[in-house]
Amino acid sequence: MVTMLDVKNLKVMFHSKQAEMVAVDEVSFSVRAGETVALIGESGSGKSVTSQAIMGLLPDNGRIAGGEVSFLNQNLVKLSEKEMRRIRGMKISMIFQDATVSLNPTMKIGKQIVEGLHYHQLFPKKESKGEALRLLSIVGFENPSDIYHQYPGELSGGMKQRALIAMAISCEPQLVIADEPTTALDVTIQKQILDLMDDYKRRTETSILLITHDFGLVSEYADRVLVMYEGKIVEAADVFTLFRNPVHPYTKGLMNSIPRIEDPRVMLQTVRDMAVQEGTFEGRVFAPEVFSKDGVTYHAPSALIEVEKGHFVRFFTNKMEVSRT
Amino acid sequence: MNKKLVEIRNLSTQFKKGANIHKAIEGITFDVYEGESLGIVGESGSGKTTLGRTILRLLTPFHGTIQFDGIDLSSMDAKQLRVWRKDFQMIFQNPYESLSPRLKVGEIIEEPMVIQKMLTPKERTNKVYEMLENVGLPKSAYQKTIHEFSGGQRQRVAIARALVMNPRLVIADEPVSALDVSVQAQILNLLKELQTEFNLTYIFISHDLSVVHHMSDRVGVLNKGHMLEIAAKNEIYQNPIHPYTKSLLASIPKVNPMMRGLEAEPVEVPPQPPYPPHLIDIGNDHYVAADVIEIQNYRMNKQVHKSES
Ligand SMILES: Nc1ncnc2c1ncn2[C@@H]1O[C@H](COP(=O)(O)OP(=O)(O)OP(=O)(O)O)[C@@H](O)[C@H]1O
Ligand SMILES: Nc1ncnc2c1ncn2[C@@H]1O[C@H](COP(=O)(O)OP(=O)(O)OP(=O)(O)O)[C@@H](O)[C@H]1O
Ligand SMILES: [Mg+2]
Ligand SMILES: [Mg+2]
Repeated sequence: MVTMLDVKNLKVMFHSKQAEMVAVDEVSFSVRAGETVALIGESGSGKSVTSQAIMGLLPDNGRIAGGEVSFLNQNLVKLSEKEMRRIRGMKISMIFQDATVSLNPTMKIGKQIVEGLHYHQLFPKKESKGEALRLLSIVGFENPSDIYHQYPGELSGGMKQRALIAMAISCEPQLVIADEPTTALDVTIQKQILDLMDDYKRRTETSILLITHDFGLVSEYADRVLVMYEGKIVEAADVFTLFRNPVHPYTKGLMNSIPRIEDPRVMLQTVRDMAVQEGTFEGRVFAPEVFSKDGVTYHAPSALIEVEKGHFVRFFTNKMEVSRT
Repeated sequence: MNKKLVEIRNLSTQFKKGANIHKAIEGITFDVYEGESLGIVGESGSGKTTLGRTILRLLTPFHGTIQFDGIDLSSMDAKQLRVWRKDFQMIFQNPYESLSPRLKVGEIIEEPMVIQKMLTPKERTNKVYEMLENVGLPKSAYQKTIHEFSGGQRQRVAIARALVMNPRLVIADEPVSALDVSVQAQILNLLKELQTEFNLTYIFISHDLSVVHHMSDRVGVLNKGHMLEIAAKNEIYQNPIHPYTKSLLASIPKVNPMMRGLEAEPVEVPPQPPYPPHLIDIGNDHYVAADVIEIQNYRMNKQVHKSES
């Protein structure tokens, strides 16, 4: 299968007045044509920054400090802003986390979609209204012509997010980066939208990078999963392997913190509870880079360790085998 | 059962949309008992937020009554309401929009007491520190502004602000929807602890049926502005009657990739009638929107099940 996106040793840094901070640290992964790869992790783990780096949309105080981002064998890191703009929207499309900031509050929904269609010149101007209405019904609006004439402020949170998704798929992209696309939506509409994206993906061999903190979505739609924590990938595997045998305490903690109907617990378990229980270093989720064991100093291995075929885990406990340095 | 704290009768709220009138909620009737947690579930746009805002009289109802501890709030004006405001509070979905970016966190939490002219400044400051501790924030949070906090920490500030007046009723509108799962677990645990500690009554609004299951004693199902079913949690989740409730339950994610494609049969939901339904008590305090024939069928099925087991 064709590799659509190949990210190698991506490192992103932010600078502020006082210091530089690493937000994404040596992240490597690939997405093949027609594949859905989920990037999961808690708030602040670096998911959005990873996607911004891929799209060339890092804020001014951020920069790519190393690594490569290849899209269909072209290194995007080297492209000019003008070349990048052509790729964005035409080949890679992004659905942002917060619909409120992505929609223009002073322009009617229909007009916003039509402007996007004009910009990419995919439809003759005459047909663009019809296409906009079709897109609005695809994302589950029963009355697309009403929505067409409304302003974002008149819609509920979930409705705004659907309008945004309609805009994102309007240019028939090859890679969709969806950053928490349905977090604000209820299960029925969430399912409707993700089924739609999934179906669209199967028909067109589009790839999806699905950024989420929701294991429910991952279990339903992802082919492969990358678990991210503090800017690093801590576990990577295909979805079946990961759910059968999660290894890293952070992954287990995320899985245990979801309430489930069949679960009688009064209190939910948090990631920290899990780290303590799994015997990591003093209850820290991560192993320190340098540590001592039986009076000998060790360096934690920086590469992911393959614990079974195709299942990679970052070193987290001194019970894992390490070589002396 | 505990005493009734809130009695809602025939509540309707409308919005003008150009020349049209949009009935966001219509003909809603239910009670909330002191000390319980009542979950409200429903799709996006079903009217959950509108219902919450109307109960707290942040919106004026078009029709119907809201009795809070025997007092009718529905016809009060802003001035009369002020006296009651401290007894009911709302926690919003988006802590980014609902908290002032210009104030210090300490001032945000103190503000409701200042408005109500409660306590001396010194006592208020102490109370703020006490609340920070209750919601698990460090003392140093007092001097900071809201930008300096993550989503979960902001929601803790919102909770501290809501609880500082010792309210009796707290309406939490999607309080964890914007938070990631690990922080969500902490906030849900916190809300549960605080409910016991302060003997709070919750109306807990969410589109996430697993979260509502975890948090609620009773659950009401809202669709297109109408309440379709309301009952104890176990009744709703194990013995749903209305086809719409069944369809919602069937759509709960299984969180197990091996179950892909093995989803429950989709439930056929008949179109919703244009007028608000009359809810019928089918026993066990289980109310459902249904006509006489549906109720008969349901009772018969239940008999059959009983004789089988
Ligand atoms: N413009 C910026 N300036 C400085 N630091 C930033 C900036 N944007 C992000 N960061 C930092 O980079 C890290 C990763 O942030 P990122 O937005 O990628 O998290 P995330 O995993 O997407 O979280 P969430 O689930 O909350 O969206 C965080 O520590 C964040 O504070
Ligand atoms: N201020 C307003 N002006 C006009 N219409 C409104 C306003 N607020 C809500 N509505 C409409 O009322 C209906 C119910 O909206 P509400 O926000 O109560 O839904 P919700 O169930 O909370 O949805 P969500 O899960 O998306 O938050 C929607 O059709 C919405 O468009
Ligand atoms: Mg993000
Ligand atoms: Mg709402």
